[in-house]
Amino acid sequence: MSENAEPKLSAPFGASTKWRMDIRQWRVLLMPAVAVAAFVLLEWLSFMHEHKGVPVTPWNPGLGFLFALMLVRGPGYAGVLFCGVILAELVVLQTRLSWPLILGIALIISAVYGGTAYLARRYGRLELGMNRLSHIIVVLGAGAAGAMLATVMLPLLLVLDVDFGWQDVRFAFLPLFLGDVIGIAVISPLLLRLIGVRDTTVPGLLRRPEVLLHALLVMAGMAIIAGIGLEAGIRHFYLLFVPVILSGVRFGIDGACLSLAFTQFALVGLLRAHGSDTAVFTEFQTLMFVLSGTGLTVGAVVSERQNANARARAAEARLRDMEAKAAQADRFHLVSGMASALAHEINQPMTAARALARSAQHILDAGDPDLKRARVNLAKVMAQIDHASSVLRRMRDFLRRGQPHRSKVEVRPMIADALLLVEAEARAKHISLRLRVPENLPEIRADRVQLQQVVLNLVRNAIDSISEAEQRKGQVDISAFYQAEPERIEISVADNGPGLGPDFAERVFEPLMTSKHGGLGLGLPICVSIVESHGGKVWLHSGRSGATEFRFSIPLNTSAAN
Amino acid sequence: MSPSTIFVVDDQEAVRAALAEMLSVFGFHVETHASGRSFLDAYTQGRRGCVVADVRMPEMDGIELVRECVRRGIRLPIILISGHADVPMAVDGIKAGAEDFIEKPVDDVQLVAAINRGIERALAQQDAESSREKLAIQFNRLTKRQAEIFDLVAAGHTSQAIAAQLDISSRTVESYRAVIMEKMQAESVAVLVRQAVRLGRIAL
Repeated sequence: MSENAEPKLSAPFGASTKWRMDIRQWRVLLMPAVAVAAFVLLEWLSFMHEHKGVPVTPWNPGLGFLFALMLVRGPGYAGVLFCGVILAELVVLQTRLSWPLILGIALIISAVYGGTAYLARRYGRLELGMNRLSHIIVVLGAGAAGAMLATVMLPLLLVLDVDFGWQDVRFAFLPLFLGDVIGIAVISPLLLRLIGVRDTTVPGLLRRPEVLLHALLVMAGMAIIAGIGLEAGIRHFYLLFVPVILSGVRFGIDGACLSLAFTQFALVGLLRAHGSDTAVFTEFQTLMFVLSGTGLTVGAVVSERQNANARARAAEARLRDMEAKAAQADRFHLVSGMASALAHEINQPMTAARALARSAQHILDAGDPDLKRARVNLAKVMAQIDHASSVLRRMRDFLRRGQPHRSKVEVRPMIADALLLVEAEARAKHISLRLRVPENLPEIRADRVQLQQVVLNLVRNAIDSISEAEQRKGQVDISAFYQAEPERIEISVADNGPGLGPDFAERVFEPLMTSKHGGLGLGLPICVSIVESHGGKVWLHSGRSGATEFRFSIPLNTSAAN
Repeated sequence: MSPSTIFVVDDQEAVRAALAEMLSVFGFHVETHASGRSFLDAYTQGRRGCVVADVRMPEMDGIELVRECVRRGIRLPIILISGHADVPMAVDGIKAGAEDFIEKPVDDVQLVAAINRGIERALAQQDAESSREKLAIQFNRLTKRQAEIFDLVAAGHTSQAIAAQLDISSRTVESYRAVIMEKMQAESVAVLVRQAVRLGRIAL
């Protein structure tokens, strides 16, 4: 048993690898073979009658199908077209043309469309998605150019045949041209949207309930045209514009492509059912060509606008996201700044308290203790501990964030507490902070913590601007004052730093503008949003060197603003 | 000799007063200053003691104070006190010439130890400097001939050898030696050799 186990294990394994290899080899041939079959099938479906070897079809969906494949997969699919044309001549048309002529026809058609597809691919930049007007123009233009060339060259070739006279050329020219163009205009864009792009919505659209409504509209239009009689009813062809334009407007290029394909199939069905002649057919196809051009244009324009909107929304969302992140970073900056400020602020009273406690202990340990002195020292210890806990309490108040919480805010302590957080930093950078707030300033109704963040941001900016200029004797003046009409409090942060250049001053409130190394450029926009949510404004009062001043206002009557 | 003074320099009134109180309870003579500038203005050259200064101060910070003292030739040991966030700053201070640095809140045992170490080191340095200065003055009072014989004696030559080398009598050498030892206040040849080493006349 055991000696058999190995071959048994390896045999299916080897076989499956071989099988996979075969599939890969076959796939190279499979796709073109399927394409040839599909082409012949479509030729057969759309075939009406031939005119001396020229298929007179109201439209040429097979060509539209292969033209799209050539655009997506490359002009190599011209080979498929070549085989498909020969097969169609033999199977569908059951031609009596000589072999050289059949080969000639196939060669002309495949060379012309292969060539135009190559040029369209090369210069049309279609890989960008077929949802732009320029792409539609390229595809329709290439299709029309190809059709024109083919319809000029084919009859010239067929004239070599004894049966085919010059009057036949005239007769065949327009239907041939229109059939090719319609095939390309209706089928190629739809196929390109289906297989050529990643953001297609075609399958999703087919599942929407609007499809039924659309079909009803098309059918109603067809019924009216057919009811009057085709020759008179053609005057009402405009009715068929309605569903196409509606889908284009509603769903962009995908909607337009689907609607056009549906309309075209319905129209072909109608014309066939009525057994109309070539002249009527050609007339309808001419109108259908106009409808295709209009529908695709509307669809492409709508898609372009939708894409632009989507891009704008994405950019906006990205900006909002960044702003949120920056706010978080800002809070982190604030917290880390606070941690260091806290350490400094707490260390002072701790140092004093410890030294005083130690001296009291030392006094009491002595043989003849000076109790009064020890008592004084212990009282001072308690005062220092109280001071430390008040620092902690203010910090905690500051950190207790969350929903904006409006309350009556006294301006001076609000600013003074905010400055507590930057005092250490300012001192380390030799920058003095000066706060000037007049007595009896009315209280404002605001979110105290948010306003403190605005003050902090402005003061930090001032400190950074002075220290980056490596300036000595830096000074930041923070002041608040009352202004009338409308009644408001204005808070000003002025520094004697290098100021802002005129270019920068204009754009200083724009997001992502920063002059700082490592700055996010979102500090001021955050200030703006906070102040605006309070019904106030932030502005650059002066950008001059040595007297840079930012101000913001908070209206006293904020009941309206929320 | 004047008594040692501890100069406490800190801009924060509470800390300054508390440190001063503690150090004075410990028996030090303490003087407080609210800024480095005020200390420099009040200090007179020659006063002994130790400076205890905060690193973080407006205008002149602790490190600038150390540099200024070095520049002015103030030889007082300086102990910097710093919050924990200022350690790199304190390292700069040590490099600039500070005696030591102590983190806040200040451990009194550490502080007193640092103060004592600083004062001792300063005193020892001062003594060494003053004795070397005195010695140099004494040596400069020797005549050229006496200095020559000083070097030879310090180098370990006997009177006879010196006499032979200088082509003078050994009695003359003896009398030179007596004058040299008196001028240099050296009780013995061993002391004289040590003086020669300190003066850099001979290598050990």
